[in-house]
Amino acid sequence: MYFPNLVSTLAVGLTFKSLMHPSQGLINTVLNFFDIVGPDWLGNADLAIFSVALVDVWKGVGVATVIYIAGILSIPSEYNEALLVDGGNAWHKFRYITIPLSRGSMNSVIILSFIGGLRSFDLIMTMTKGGPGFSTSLISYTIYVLYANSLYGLSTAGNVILFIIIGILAFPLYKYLTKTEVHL
Amino acid sequence: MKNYRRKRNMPMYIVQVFSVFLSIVIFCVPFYFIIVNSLKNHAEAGLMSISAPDNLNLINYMEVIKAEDYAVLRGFRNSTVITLFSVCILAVVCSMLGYIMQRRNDKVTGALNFFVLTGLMIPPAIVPTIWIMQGVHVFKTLHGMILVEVALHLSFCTIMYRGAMASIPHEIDDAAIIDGCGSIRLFFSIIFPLLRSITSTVIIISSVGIFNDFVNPLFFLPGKENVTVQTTLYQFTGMYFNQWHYLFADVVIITVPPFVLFLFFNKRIISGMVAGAVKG
Repeated sequence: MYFPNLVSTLAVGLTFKSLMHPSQGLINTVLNFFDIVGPDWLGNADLAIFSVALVDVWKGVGVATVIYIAGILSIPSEYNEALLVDGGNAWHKFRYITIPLSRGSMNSVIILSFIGGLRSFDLIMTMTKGGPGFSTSLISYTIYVLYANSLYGLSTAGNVILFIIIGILAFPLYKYLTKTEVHL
Repeated sequence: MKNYRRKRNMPMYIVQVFSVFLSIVIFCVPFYFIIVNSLKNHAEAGLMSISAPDNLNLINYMEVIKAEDYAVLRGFRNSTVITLFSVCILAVVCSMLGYIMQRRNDKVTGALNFFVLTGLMIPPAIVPTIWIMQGVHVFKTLHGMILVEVALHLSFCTIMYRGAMASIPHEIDDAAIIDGCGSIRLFFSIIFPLLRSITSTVIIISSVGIFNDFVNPLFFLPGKENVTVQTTLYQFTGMYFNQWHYLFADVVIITVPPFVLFLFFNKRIISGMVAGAVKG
């Protein structure tokens, strides 16, 4: 499960670019086998951003799982024993013990992937280059394009905007998440 | 606990088998796809299928290594130097910083906490960073790149170390001080060895991150002599347009070092995470 994280984002982007090829790509070949006409994953302006997000999830699952495993391992087993004594089933265990008590790791995952998503750049660069049109051009990619065209002032302005957006969104989120956390 | 397991009914079992199978397909097929296609010739790789290649074209690997006057080997050297030095600096500096931040409780630590958290959230601005790097004459040099990587990974590593430090009892410090141990010796011969599991977690996470970093070398380390492995891959995407067999061969080559590192430290990642990230 941790393997996707060992491959660089650039390589993951390349691989999925070929897997998502509209006519020959593996995903659409499999879908055709079940008589489903697969969409043009990266060429469709409405869909492209979600395809990229899907690949980002694929890559992020490994790290998130490791953080969750760590969180769940640190839950004392007394809670599970208490639940068994009270006659709870697997769903109760998941709903009332695992979820609330692994909130710490859930918060880490939410914050890390939230910031990572706002800053993501490599996948866009390899998979879509901001296209089709401007449908997948994120702030970080715009900053790069401006920088590559020697528009240094505009590019730094883009950095400031990204800074402000992350500040406005991430700090309140962090405050809210840590406030609602359950302490063991 | 055993009794509890036996109650599991048939549909539940099928769902479990199905989800395990599904995750194997989702996570293993792309890797299989990369390896198989790196061994095909041009025409076969163009078909983008996962069928096995007719014959093993190991020559792809040789071609990729030779390309651009051995750019891949140069990339390997540069990336290894950057990763090695950055990780060494990170392990020493962040453990000391985490130690101080966890043990002391005054206004300075409050400010430090804020800065570390900010460092985790705020992305680096490109042009000002280059301006500073040019000012101290480290732009386009490997040691400049090492400094950038250290700065970017400092926050995460410090947070991990600070979390792990909480599980080391205060009494150990007190005992050592009473026995006449100086502060430097206290840290390096008593505290640092106790942090071994978190150190290996920090080493693997940050070295994989730095080795696979593409964005920062792209901005802060331009130039043909200074390629890193990721920038060579990026150059090849332009050079070998639609020649997937070469691209995938390069992907395989550059994934080997993180993979080997992972095999060594595999067991320690989770134990370190338990100590560091969660209690943070």
